[in-house]
Amino acid sequence: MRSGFTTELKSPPTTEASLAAALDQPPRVRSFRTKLTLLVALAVIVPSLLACLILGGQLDRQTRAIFASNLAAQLETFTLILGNNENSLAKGVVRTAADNTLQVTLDLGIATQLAHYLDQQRGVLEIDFLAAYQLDGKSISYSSAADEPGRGQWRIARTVDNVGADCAVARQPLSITICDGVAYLTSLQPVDRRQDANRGDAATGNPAGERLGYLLGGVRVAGPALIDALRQRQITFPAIWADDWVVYANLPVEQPLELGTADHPAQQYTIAGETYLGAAKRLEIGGQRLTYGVLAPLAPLRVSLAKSVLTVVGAGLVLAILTLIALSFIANRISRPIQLLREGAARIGAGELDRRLDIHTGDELEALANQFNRMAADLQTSYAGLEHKVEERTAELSEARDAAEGALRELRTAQASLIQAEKMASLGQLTAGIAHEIKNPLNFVNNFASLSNELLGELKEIAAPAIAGLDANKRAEIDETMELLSGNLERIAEHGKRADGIVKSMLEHSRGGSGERQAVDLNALLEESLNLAYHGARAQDQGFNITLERDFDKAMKPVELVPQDIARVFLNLFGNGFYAANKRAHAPNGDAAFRPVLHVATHDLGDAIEIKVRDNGAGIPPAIRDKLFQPFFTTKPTGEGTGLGLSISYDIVTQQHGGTIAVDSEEGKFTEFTIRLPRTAKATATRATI
Amino acid sequence: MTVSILVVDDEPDVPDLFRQRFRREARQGTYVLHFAASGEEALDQLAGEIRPELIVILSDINMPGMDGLDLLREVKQRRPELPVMMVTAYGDDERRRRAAEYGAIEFVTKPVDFDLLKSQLQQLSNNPT
Repeated sequence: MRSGFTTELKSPPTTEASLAAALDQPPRVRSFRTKLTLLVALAVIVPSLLACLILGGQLDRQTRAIFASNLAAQLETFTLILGNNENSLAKGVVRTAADNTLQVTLDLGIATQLAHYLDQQRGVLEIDFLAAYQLDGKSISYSSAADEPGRGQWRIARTVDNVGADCAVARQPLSITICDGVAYLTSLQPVDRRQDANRGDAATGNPAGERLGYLLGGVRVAGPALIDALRQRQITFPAIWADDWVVYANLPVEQPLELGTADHPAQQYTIAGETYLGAAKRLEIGGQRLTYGVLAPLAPLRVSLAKSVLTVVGAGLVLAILTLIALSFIANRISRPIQLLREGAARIGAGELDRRLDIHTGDELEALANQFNRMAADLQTSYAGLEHKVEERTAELSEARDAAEGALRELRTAQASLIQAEKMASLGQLTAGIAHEIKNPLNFVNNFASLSNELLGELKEIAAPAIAGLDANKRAEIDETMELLSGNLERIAEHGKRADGIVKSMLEHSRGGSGERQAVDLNALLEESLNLAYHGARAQDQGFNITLERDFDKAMKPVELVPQDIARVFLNLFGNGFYAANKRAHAPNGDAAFRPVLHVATHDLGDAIEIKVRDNGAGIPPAIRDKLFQPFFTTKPTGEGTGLGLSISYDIVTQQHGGTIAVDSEEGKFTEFTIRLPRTAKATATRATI
Repeated sequence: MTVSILVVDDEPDVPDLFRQRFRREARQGTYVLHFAASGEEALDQLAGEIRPELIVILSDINMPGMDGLDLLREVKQRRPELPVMMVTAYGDDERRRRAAEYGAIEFVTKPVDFDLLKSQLQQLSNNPT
């Protein structure tokens, strides 16, 4: 496994402190590795130990059970051997008692033959002793090995009370008798004369079927044959006792052992400090108890058991240690990439967006790391994109704000010009109304002034003869008065005419849309107006001169307008321009090199057209720019301008043609009027008529 | 031959002005000037006998009550042959058009050019309709 971090790109700003905090912060719970180790240790070791314990206990029980069944089997074998002995003894004695030879020998009382017979028969029957008794119990003959205990002491008990002991045999087919310190299994059988015997019984005088005596046979309860048989059957520790007397035990058993119950054939005994397991059985033989058991020491069992348990536990421990080692390796293998993932997440969380994980485990963790890397890359991209977007949005917002502010400015300008237009319109209407009201009385003034002058002339003619008759002084006085009166009347007429001119101009405001709109070659109209204005100015003032500059848009298409009205506007603007430029040329302390210039330009804007009239005169002070289009506002000396030229021009451009007129100026440099007219009449407002 | 002219105007100075302007003609016996201050008064005078023969009515248009154009229509109903000249300070197209429609022979804008008016009157008196 190859693991580690690789730094590929320049890191974005990282908060080192937060990274350190994220990495150094100990996990609130144990690390994944510890948890995994603990978990698997618990999962493996605890069951192992439990299994050992259970297995040990189970083993113990199983071993004891096996032991017990083994003991039971031994006991069964013991029983079989005993039973076999018993059976062969009883059958042998019965068979011998019925033997004709014995009967005959007894009947005839041939002692030597009897002894010989008993020896022979004892060998056939393989018993320890065989004896014959008379009816009164007196021993007739006895056969046994020479060293056999109880030799010659065997007797037949008279009563039941003292049977079984002291070599006194009970009168019953089978009994246990102790004689000379050795327990015997004895069988006592009566020997009767045979019914069919025909051997000259008269000689003895015993009738047929008469009892002849008794035959007693016995084997040691724990004789060498039995012990040998038991040993052959691998019954190592047999024990036999009759009533309370221990017959045989190759262990230091002093007293009969407590018998195990039927349910627990294997009992635990402590003999001379050693613990044995044992099983015992009881036999009733001739009213006597014969108890026999098998024993086995527990120690070897315990040792082997302990060995088994130790082997199991040892194997368990080895397994656990191997498991822990493997676990440590596996946990490391699993937790290392997880640790790397955690670190990577912490670093990315702290802002190191260029961090990538290098995990090649070929499993879900590698897939997770790859996914993590993709996520980090996406995060990095979207972070960069986000910054870019924020910039973009900021720029867009800024643009939108600028646009909104621009729109607001335009709106305010439009509002201002609307207010101005409204003001101008009402001023125009007012002007026209005033003009009408003044016109009638002014007509009277002019008419009566003119009439009065006529009348004065008539008076002079009529009064001439009378005046001629007066003295020179009076005549001179009358003549002078007449002259003054005539002069005054002329002045009244003159000023009346001036006022009439003003009124006529004022009435232009309400002249009504007399002219029809028609498609006009604007450039030609401008040229015509320019010539008219120039020659008009030259006619008034011989010394007047100005340079005319034309910058006409050659692609200008015909424009719908009222040519005579627009021509008035042009004439007015040209006149103003001539006046301003010329005034600067003739200024008292002006520049001698100054050349008055009037520049006229047109532009076809598609839906609209634009005309610019620019002069290089003294310019218009900002303070009076707002008043330019108001009626009666003029900067010319009294009598030179009515102050209505621009006001009427304004009406014609805005009201009649739905256009705009604006002024731009810089003092001492230039004044430029810009007229913008819609190409067609669609937006033209109808003009109020008075 | 002396003929009459009826001038209809609500301005009180109009009769003086016309009398002074036409003083020579009055003195020579060319015209006799009659004046009415309103349309109603003019119709009253027309109903009576105007001596000598009335050759023309000069009427203002803006007058309180019956205005000049209403008077023109009335006159044209009663005396269709009688020429009527409209004299007004308002020389706008609409009034001019209506005056012509109702049958005015002339539309004179104020201030009145009396020399021109006199020549027009001369023509009327020379060629009575």
